[in-house]
Amino acid sequence: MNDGTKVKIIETLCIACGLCREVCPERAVHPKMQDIHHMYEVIESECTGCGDCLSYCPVPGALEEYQRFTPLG
Amino acid sequence: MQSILKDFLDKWVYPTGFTGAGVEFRLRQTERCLPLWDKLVGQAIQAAKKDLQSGSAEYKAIRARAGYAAEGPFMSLKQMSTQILSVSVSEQAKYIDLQRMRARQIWDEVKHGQLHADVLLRSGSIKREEELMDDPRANTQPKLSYFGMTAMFPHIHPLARAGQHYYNESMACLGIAATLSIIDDDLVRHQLRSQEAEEMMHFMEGKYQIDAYALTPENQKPIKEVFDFLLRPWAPEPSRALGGTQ
Repeated sequence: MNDGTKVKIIETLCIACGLCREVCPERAVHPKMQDIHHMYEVIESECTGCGDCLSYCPVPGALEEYQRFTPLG
Repeated sequence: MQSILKDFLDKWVYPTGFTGAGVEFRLRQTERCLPLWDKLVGQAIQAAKKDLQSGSAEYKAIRARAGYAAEGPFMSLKQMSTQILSVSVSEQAKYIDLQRMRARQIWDEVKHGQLHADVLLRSGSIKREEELMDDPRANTQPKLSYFGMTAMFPHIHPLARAGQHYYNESMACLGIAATLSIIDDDLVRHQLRSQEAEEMMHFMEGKYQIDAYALTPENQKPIKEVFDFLLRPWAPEPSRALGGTQ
C-alpha cells in the first residue's frame, strides 16, 4: 500500500543514465518534457513509491524519497 | 530554394574553420545534394500540413512509431556498431576523434528512441514501451533503408560514414526544422527539440570528417562512393518522425 512516499530526481546530481526509467515497474520515469539535455522526471501520479529505482541508481543522492502527504492515523 | 534550406546553408554548411581540398570536395558534393535537400524540406512541410489537416492526433503516434523503428536501438545496433567495428585496431589512434563521435551518437540514438516511445506513453497510446516490441509499425520501415548492416557493407571504410552523416543527418535537421515550422504541439516539440541539436551534431560530424580528412583523391574516394549511393533515386529519406513522407 502506498503510504504517500514518492521518489524525485535531483537534477544537479543526476547523470541521465536512464536506469531508473528502465527498472521502474510503473513506467513512471519519463524523459523530461522538451528538455534538450535528456534529463528525466518522475511523474508523481504514476509513482507508487516502491523504491526499486533507488537500488539501481549509480549516483548517491540523485534519487530522493519524499512524502506526498502525511498519512492519517 | 526553400528558406529553411537557405538558412541552414548560410548558418551551418558554408561557414567552416578549414580551408583546402577537403572543403572544396565537400562543397562539390553539397551542390549534388541541394536538389534533394530542397525537395525534402518541401515534402516535410506538406506532410506536416497534411497531419494538421487530418483533424486527429493520430499523426503523432504514427510519427512516433516510425521514429522508434528508424532510430533508437535499431540504429545504434545496426549502424553505429557496424561503423565502430569498421575501424581496425591498428587505425584506432588515427580515427579516435571519429570513434568518439560514433560512441556519442549511440547514446543520442537510444535517447531518441526513448523520446519516440515517450510520445506514445504520454499520449496513452501504449501503457508500456514493451508493447512496441509486438507492433510491426514500430519495428519496420517501409522502404529500403540505409540504416541496416547490409547497407553499410559496401561502405566499410572508416571515412565512408562522412557522406552518410553529411547527407542524411542534414535531412534530419531540415526535416525537423520544417516540421516544427508548421506543427506547434507540446508532444511533437518534446519528440524533436533535443533531436534537433543532436542531429546537428551528427551533421557537423560529417562536415568535420570531410573538411579534415578528405584531403587526397584516395581519402575522397570512399566518401564520394557513399554520396553516389545516397543520391540515387531510391535513396531513403528521413523517417516519418523527422519529416519524411513515409
